[in-house]
Amino acid sequence: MAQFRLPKDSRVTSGQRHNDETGMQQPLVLEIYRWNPDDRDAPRVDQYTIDRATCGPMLLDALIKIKNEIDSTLTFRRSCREGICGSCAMNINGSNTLACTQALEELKPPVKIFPLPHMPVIKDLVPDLTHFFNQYASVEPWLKAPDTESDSERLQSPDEREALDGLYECILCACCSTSCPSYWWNPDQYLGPANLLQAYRWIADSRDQATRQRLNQLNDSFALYRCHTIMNCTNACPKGLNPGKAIGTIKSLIARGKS
Amino acid sequence: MTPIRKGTRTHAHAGLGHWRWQRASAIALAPLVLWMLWLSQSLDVSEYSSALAWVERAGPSTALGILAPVWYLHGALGLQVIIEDYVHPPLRQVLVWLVRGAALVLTGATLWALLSIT
Repeated sequence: MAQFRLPKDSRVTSGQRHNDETGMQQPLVLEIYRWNPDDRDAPRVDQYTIDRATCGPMLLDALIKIKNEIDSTLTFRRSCREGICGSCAMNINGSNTLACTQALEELKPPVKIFPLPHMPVIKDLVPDLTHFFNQYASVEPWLKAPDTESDSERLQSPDEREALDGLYECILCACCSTSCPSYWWNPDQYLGPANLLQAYRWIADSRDQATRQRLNQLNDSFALYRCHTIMNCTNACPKGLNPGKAIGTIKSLIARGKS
Repeated sequence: MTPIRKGTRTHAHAGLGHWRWQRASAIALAPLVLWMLWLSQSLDVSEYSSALAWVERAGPSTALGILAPVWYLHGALGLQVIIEDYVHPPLRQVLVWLVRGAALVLTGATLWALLSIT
C-alpha cells in the first residue's frame, strides 16, 4: 500500500531557537526544516529571527543572511538568484516555489520552510533529485532528426517557433512534480509534470522527427496516465507555465492517433 | 525512451484504452442517469409487487439493461485508477482483477434478473 505516514525516525520534531529579536527594527521569524544525515536524530524545525531592515527583499536573501550571520550549518542549494537555475526550489509556507523569486513581504510570518515534498533529503533543504533527472533523461530531451546534407540551420517559421513558448522556459526546478499527489504515490513509474512538459517540448518542436516514437513511448498507464488533472503543477510553477495543459495535449495527440 | 531502470514498466499497460473507455462511459452515463431519474418518478417502492411491475415495463427494463453494463464498467475503471494509484504490486493486479470480476458478475446478475422479470 501507499505509505501515508512518514517512518518514525523521519517524523519532524521541534528544534531549537537560535536567536531572538533583540535590537531588530523589522524582525521576521523563520521556521526551517533541519536534518543532518551524519546524526541519527529525527528531522527538526529550527527557529531563526532576522531583521528585514538589514536583509535583501527575497527569501533567498534571508536564508543567506541566516547562513552568514546566525548558523553556518544551514544547508540549501542556490546559484543564479534570479529564477533561471531552479536550484533554490523549496516548500515555502506550504507552496513549492523558488526562494530567490519569493518576496519576503508576501509571506505570512512565521515563514515555514521545508525541502520539496516527498523527495529523499540529502541535508536540510537539499532534496535528492537523482531519480527526477534520470526520468528527464528517459524522455530523450534532444532533437531527433536525420542529419542534413549541408551544415545549414534547421529553419522554423515564426508560428512553429511560437509553439515552443510556454515549454522551453521550464528550468526543471521540480516544484511542479513535487506538488503532484500522483507523483508522490508513484514516482518510480509516473514521469511527473515537469518531465512530461519536457517530453511535449520535443513533440511540439517542428524540427523533431521522432513524434510518433515519443508518443508511442508515452502511451503508458503509469508514465503518462497517472495524471488526473489535479493541476497542482500549474498552480506551483514559479515560471507561470502550464504542465497540465502540456499533459492534456499529449493525451489528445495519442487519442487522435498521432502515435 | 530509455527505461529509467530495468523492469520499471513491467506492471504498466498502454493507457489510451482505459482513458478512452473511462471518458466514453462517463459521457454515456450522463443521459442514462437522467433518463433513469426521469423514469423513476413513476417507481413505487412501497410494495414489492409495484416495484416489480415498474421493472417489467418497457422503458425501465430497457434503461436498466443499458445502464447496468455502462455503470459497472465505469465503476470498475474508476476503482482501477484508485487501486493503481495507492496499492503497490503484487497486490495491485490482484485487486484490479477482483474488481473486474465483481463488475462482470454484477452486470451478469443484473441482466439475468431483468430477463427473469420481463
